[in-house]
Amino acid sequence: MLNTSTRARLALFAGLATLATLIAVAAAGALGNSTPKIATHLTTAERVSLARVSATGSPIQLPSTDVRTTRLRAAGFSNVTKIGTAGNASFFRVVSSSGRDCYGSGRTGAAWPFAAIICSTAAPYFPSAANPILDQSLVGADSPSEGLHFMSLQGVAADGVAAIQGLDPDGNTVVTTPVAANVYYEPAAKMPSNVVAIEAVDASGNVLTTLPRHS
Amino acid sequence: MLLRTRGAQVRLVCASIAVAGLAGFAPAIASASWGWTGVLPSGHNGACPFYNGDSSCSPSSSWSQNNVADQGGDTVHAGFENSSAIRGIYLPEYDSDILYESSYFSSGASVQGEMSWCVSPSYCSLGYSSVWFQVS
Repeated sequence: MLNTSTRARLALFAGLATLATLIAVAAAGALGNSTPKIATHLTTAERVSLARVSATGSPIQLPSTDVRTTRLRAAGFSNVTKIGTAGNASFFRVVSSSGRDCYGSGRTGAAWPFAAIICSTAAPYFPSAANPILDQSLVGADSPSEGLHFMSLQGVAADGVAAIQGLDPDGNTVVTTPVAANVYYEPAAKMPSNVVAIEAVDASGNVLTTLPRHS
Repeated sequence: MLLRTRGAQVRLVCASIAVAGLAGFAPAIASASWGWTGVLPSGHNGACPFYNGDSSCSPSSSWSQNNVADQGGDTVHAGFENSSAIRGIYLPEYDSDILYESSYFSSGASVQGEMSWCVSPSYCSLGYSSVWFQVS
């Protein structure tokens, strides 16, 4: 038998739990209004094209005396292949001891070729229908009162990705960058200042994924 | 922190193993390093001049490299910052990254390595991310 005080506490707890649930549901609904719809009914051929990066490229040598080269070797990264260029950016496939390729990019002609190297460490691995781009776009801000936004677009895309679209806070497409030979690049000088998300689309305009990406 | 599915737990373990492999090399070679593991946004370490309620940062120094991993949850921002700018990339869950400071700030600038919760409310869920980063 519960005393009055205990019943009151249980009632309060149940009330708070219900309120929290209602808030979560309402928040999820609000987010759903602005979340792009992801294509879910892909054909087998489309899924295959999203699981492949056909660009082969040619091997490059990293600076042998650079400590960053030593660090990469020690971490299990070995052969580096330059798979493409776009604008003044170069894109690379980096063989990893994990058994899955990583991809990097950087400014063409720089003493050190990489600004970033990205690896998928668990499913959904890149490239795949669930993870068709490995984005390396510059995202930043110049004031703490300013929200993070895309300052350039660059990355590597699976064969089935046709373009990258930049979205403003209302979900409108304000810039579209084509994917050519598995890479894409939109320089900072041509970027609108209000791109807060990107989406990858196929040749029919179907949205394949977004970034920031939801779990 | 409870993970939502068994699959998520398995992926977190796999990701942690992969990250451990990536992490192993830095301390032995770098002249100095600093690392942090935790959960964003709730577990931030209060050391960032930008978005301090949502981010964790290293101490300020001339860091050249930031090794980062999103071990599951949602997208985070990874990079470098000082009191007047933040630069980096969005890192989806289960991806890891090596970022080189010289491509984001003037080489040798005093910056803090950072990982930040996705600061774009319309495009971020109400979840969390388990993250790890190490600057050297």
